[in-house]
Amino acid sequence: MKWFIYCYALFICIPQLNAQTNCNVSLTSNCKPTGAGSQYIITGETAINFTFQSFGDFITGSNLFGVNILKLVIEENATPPDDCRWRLNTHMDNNAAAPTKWEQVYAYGLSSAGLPELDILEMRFRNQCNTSLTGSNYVSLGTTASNLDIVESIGLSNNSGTCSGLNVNRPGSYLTNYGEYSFAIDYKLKPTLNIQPGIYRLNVRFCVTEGN
Amino acid sequence: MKNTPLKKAILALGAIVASNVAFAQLQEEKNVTITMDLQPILQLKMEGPDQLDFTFDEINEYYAGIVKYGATVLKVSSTVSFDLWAAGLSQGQEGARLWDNPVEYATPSAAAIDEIPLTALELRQFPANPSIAAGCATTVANSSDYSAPFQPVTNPGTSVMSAGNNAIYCPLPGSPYDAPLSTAVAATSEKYIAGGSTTGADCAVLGGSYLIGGQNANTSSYRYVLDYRILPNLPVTFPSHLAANAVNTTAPYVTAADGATTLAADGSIYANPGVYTMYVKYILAQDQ
Repeated sequence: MKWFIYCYALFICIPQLNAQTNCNVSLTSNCKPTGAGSQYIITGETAINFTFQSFGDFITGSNLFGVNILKLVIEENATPPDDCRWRLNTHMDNNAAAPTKWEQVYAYGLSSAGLPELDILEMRFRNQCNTSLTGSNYVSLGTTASNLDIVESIGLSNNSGTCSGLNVNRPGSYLTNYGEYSFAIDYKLKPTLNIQPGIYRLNVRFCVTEGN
Repeated sequence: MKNTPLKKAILALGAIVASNVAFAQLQEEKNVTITMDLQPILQLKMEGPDQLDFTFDEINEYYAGIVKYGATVLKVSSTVSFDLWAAGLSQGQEGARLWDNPVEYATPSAAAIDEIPLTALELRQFPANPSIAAGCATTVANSSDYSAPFQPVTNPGTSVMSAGNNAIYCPLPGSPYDAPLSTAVAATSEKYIAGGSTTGADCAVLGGSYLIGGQNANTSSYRYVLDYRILPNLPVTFPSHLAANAVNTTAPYVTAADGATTLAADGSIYANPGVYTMYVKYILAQDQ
């Protein structure tokens, strides 16, 4: 009996240890995981370079439209029925630099000017049915300590198929309802003047989890 | 069935299967790495002729000098804090910090020399260096820029004139990009058009541009109008030129004709007629 208890306790712990510290932890398992029915796909470049080499670049900023597309297929477990809700959010990782700044990879010169703020990177999440909680606006994150919800799940349950509302978070597929299960991502980056010249890096993480 | 190792193993395997089924969850992430390359942009636009000729062929021009008003307009666009200064330079044919002398109109006598200091060229800027008003700790008003008016010769016969503050800054020819040293000592501070020595508070102009809206031409920190003056006087001793100062410790004189005192004493040494050339390098640099 001891063996059984030890082993069971061990395998209870393993999923918790593997949970991403920055993505929300899934609290339930009513949706099928990816690889077992659900799918989570990203298309487009996952390494994006913005180069600012003229004064005009700094003033106007740079926009990249539809660089990435997130596509989802969410399937529900048979039991319990009608209880699968998913959540899509994003956050920034700057490799442990100051929470509101970009990670500086290389500095040009010896300027004592400040480092770029995290919130100069703006993103927009578009789909045909406008289901993103951020609507059609560009949004930004001011700190690595925050998450930004694109679709949330807690306490809400919105079915797909009507293409008429925000926050569709129930099972469905981009193959049948593309306008509700795909998100095109636009990036806008406008550096301000008087930032320390250099090369900076930021990791943008898009998390799909479940939580009721 | 006894509690054998085989039974334990079966139970454990069962636990593994049960755990995975119970805890398989929808949880996945995708990552996009964004790299931003912010290159320092320092753009200096110079309007006006890139060659200025001062031809002295009338007596009044020798006494009054020739002024080229607004001959150069400098416009700055910078993404970083910057300093802007002028450096008077020559090839050094006649020596460091002396005008080059490609042509002499007569065989020089003992009294006529071909060594004219570069500081004989005067500049006047508008508007003034904004770092002075801003309170840069290392600068002092009226000595760290070229905003003072050109001074007249008050006694042409002896080359006596009010002390001016417009002689151009002259680094050594081997180090043309050495920045001026602005100090809190009025008599020795070298001149910037904008900014000052060190990275102290207000000792640079913040990044910006003359292009951005709201810039008033009278007060903009990103647009400077420059006048030039050369005042030979008679005898030709260029009385407004500067002697050595803090950094220009080897700044040359017109030998034995440096200033009113010497001239008043003998008045026998002067610049030989001829063609003299020098150049001005305007340098826009990141404050660092």
